[in-house]
Amino acid sequence: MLPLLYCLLASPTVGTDTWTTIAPIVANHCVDCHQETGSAPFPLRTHADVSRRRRFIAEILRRELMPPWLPGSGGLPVHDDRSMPEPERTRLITWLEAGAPVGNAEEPPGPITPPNPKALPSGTVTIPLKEPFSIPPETIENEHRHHQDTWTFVMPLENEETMHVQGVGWTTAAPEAIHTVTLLADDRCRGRKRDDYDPRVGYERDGDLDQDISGSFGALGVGFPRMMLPDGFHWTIPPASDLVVELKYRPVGRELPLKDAVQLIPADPIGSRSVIPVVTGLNRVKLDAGQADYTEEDRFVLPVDFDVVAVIPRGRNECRSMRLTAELPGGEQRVLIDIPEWDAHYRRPFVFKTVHSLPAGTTLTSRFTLDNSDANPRNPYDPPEDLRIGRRTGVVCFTLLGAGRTDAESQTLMDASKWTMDRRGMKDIPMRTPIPSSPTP
Amino acid sequence: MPGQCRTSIPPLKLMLMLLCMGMACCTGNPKLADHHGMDHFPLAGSPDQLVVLVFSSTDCPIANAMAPDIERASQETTEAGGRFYLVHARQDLSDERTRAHAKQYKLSMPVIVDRSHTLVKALNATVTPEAFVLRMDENGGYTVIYQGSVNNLYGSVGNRRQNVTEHHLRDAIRSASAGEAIEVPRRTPFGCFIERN
Repeated sequence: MLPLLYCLLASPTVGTDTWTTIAPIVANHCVDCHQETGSAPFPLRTHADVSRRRRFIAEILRRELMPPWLPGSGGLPVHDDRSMPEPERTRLITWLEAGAPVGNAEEPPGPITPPNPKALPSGTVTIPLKEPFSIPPETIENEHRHHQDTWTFVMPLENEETMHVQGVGWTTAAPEAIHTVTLLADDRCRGRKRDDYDPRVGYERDGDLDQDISGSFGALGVGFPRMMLPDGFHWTIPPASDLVVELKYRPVGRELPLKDAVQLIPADPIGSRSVIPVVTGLNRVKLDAGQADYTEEDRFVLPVDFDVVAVIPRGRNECRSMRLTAELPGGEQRVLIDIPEWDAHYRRPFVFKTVHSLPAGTTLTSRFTLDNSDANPRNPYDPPEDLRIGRRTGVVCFTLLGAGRTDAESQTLMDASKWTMDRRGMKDIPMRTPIPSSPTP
Repeated sequence: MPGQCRTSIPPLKLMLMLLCMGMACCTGNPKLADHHGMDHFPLAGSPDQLVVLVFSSTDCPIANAMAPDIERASQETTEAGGRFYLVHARQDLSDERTRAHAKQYKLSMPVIVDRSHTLVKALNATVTPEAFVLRMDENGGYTVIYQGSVNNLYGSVGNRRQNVTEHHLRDAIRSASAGEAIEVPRRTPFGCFIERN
């Protein structure tokens, strides 16, 4: 009892905070992005930075718009969790509403030092964009109406031997405008053919290549410039491959030239398994303008054991929520990830804290709730428009990255995923289950 | 006109207000310098003239994302014989930063830094970007004939749409220039809060 009492007395309580006690919360939850070279529009490193925006920040915190964090509390623990615990949120709001007092400290803390990104391991390969590309000031109407603000680049690796990669990174000259980067390794020149067809730098399509989903080789997002697989897992890049990079950006009102580069962090392949993508989702969406509360599921049964290490959600902003569950052969239900408020701008991969083993016969169920009415504040169109969209690899989907127990089992998994992916486009298949007007999960 | 709200400031009150703030005053209206050092009287003008003010901030991503549309609105205003001002409502903004921002975003209109919030308080601006279209009258006052959003890029703070499909400010300027009533004279603006002094 005494230690608890001591803790209660010693820790700052709501209403007594000063910048000295608040600065660590800001350092932990804000400064990664809110620094001079970060993805956020302004720094929050000093008391003045925070104080001059205190009403706005308080409102953003109250509405839980910041810090951005998509997963709810129901899924598996993931690395790099940026959610802000409720007591810290309350303390920060209370302090801001009290006028953001500096306090009486004789030496108030100086500017918060942004965290140093971990040094890149030796052997890291950096591949820069070879031709200049600029993000335009405003959205340009593309040929493909539903793929605006999306551009794809082919980056030749010219690797003579197979590469084994444990991590991928993206450095950018325009962090405030980059929304998502998804990667794919291509050893059949399919990306180059698409690039050759478009005379501009890069090409104006998404980064999928046939059934191969962009993101199968990792992804980066806002405030998430590096993705590492856990030890014992790697991506395999065949010789003479290209990286095909799908870049989603958000115009910021001025032209932004990119001087961007991909980083490939090498893996030790000894005793390590190559990850493959397994996809579950919807690859056709038909929603009339005004249609709200539409829920649909997809199911995929694992043909062999699958060790899952990460999941990458994908969805347009007509999607309001998404959830991925696993029903084990014995009937046990596990929520892998639950996203109660989807926002495509903050899409990124989520790497599980521990490898999650799913036995053969497990049913993966992905469930998506969509809202194409004007009650959806993120509806991309105002007024809402009829949505008729297809994407072979999934309009809204989850890409699970992981491995079978052997290379042969991984191949079986990938083949089954691709077969199911193609089947999803057909009508009246038994595994596709529309559930109109069902409650939000 | 229905739905339009007269918000003229009585000249005596304005004089007293400006004297209290120690501001230069020649015509009963505030004088503020733009980013090139040129003086302006944003709340004064010849009868029937249109004056457009858009409150902004150099580091508000919502206001910045709308910069190209604001620039188009500015050009349409001057072509119609009106005046257009971008007003940064920040105390701590340097002239150098203001000039750099105008250059980066290719803004050609006069940019005013309202450090003492004279214009913010006179018009009761609350967020950036927030637009005001004023019609000057014969008594040295003005009527606010449009107040609100620049366009519909944002459905709310944090919720950005794919494309702009409604140009609220430019529609208001066009209607006012043509002598027509503005269809919707008030629209809720979504943006970064103006922190009052």
